[in-house]
Amino acid sequence: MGILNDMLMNSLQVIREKFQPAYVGATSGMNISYFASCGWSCSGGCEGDCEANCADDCAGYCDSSCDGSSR
Amino acid sequence: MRFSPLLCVTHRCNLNCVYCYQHHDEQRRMNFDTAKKCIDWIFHKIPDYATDGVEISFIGGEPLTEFDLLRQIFSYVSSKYNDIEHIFYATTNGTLLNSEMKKWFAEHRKYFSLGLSLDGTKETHDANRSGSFDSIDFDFFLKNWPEQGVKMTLSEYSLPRLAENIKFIHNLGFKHINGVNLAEGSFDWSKEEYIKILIPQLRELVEFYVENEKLTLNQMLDRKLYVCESTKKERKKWCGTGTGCVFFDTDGRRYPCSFMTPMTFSQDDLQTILSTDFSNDELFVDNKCFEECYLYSICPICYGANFYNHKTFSVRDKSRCRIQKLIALFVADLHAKRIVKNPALYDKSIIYSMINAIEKIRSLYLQEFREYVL
Repeated sequence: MGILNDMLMNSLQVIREKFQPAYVGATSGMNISYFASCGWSCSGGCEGDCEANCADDCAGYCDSSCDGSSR
Repeated sequence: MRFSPLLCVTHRCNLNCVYCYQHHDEQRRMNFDTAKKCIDWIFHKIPDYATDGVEISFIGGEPLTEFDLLRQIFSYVSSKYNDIEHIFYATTNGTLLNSEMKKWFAEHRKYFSLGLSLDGTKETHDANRSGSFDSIDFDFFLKNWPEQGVKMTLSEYSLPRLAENIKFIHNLGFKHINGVNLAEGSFDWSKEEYIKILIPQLRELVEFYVENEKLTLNQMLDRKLYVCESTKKERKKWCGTGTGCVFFDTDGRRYPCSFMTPMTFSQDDLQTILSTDFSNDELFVDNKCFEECYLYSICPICYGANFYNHKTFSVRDKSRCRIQKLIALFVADLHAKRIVKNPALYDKSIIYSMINAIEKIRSLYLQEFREYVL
């Protein structure tokens, strides 16, 4: 069976309806901070929003400077 | 957040891993006087954001070749800066831990974490890392630092065995697998053969992670797709290299990060690197990617690797675009299946955006790989 097939996508659409943001144009209704995961080791130097997003993306070096999730 | 400077205590390493990018000068070791100067600098330069104190990371070479120095530094910090919250971390190949070291690290495990480099099964690990699998005491790491992830690096040998290796590491008991990135090694990711090799591996991993829904995704698959739906885009440098990050080489000289050092770059390159204004975000934005790519926000980046490849920090390696799209497709498939199976796994605030992102990725990239994945 292929990936992201029609049956799977139909099921997702049903679920999405239940989680639609309260107001139109909210995209998500959340405050998403924009970031780029480093995917390598940014060597203890994660900044900004890595705490939320990049914690496990830094090859074991900077994750601790984010939220310690891998410590 | 913690302030997390790195100290390179030695360039020496007892292994010769197939993908290592470092030039090892066996003679280069940090002495205690230099270490003390670095430590004093660190504790007098703690940035305001570091409300959780200081984490001093040791790196090499193999840091445990300098075990006595690590102990000296630990004692020095403990006695001189005990009023400031601090912890220690070292990345290691795990092969040099003797009974004395194990006893010391076990006694200090709350303040000193070790992170293991591990590439997978014995067959793979030995092929990549100088036959060192049998020298590692996995239980020691798992017992003392059960939440600590391992670092996996890919090689030509291990790529066709990726799923097997990841499942093996999780089955050993390690919860987090870091690394697994496309930046290391000598791959030419534009080659179509890697697409064909990676697809069955990704397919197997999706099945594995859907079945084991509590497992944290390994770093290759741990992409926060919902962020792609954000309407707020900022032109900034996201890695702390040269700003929040400080790397001390064995002679005490400071560099932007652990990659941009004499172990990787020539003196000419370093001169250019060190004259760069790392606070100028514009120098680090790839305009083409920023303007055109839906995956920009989740596409792994290393500014050091950019400079290594193109002598500029901004230009990303476009040879990886196709494989990043492929990975995004499988990550989308994985999250789609996890959401359908158990939506409660996800924070309610992200599901809507996550599903939108899944649909978008499907519409943008599935056709490109249709011959392989359908």
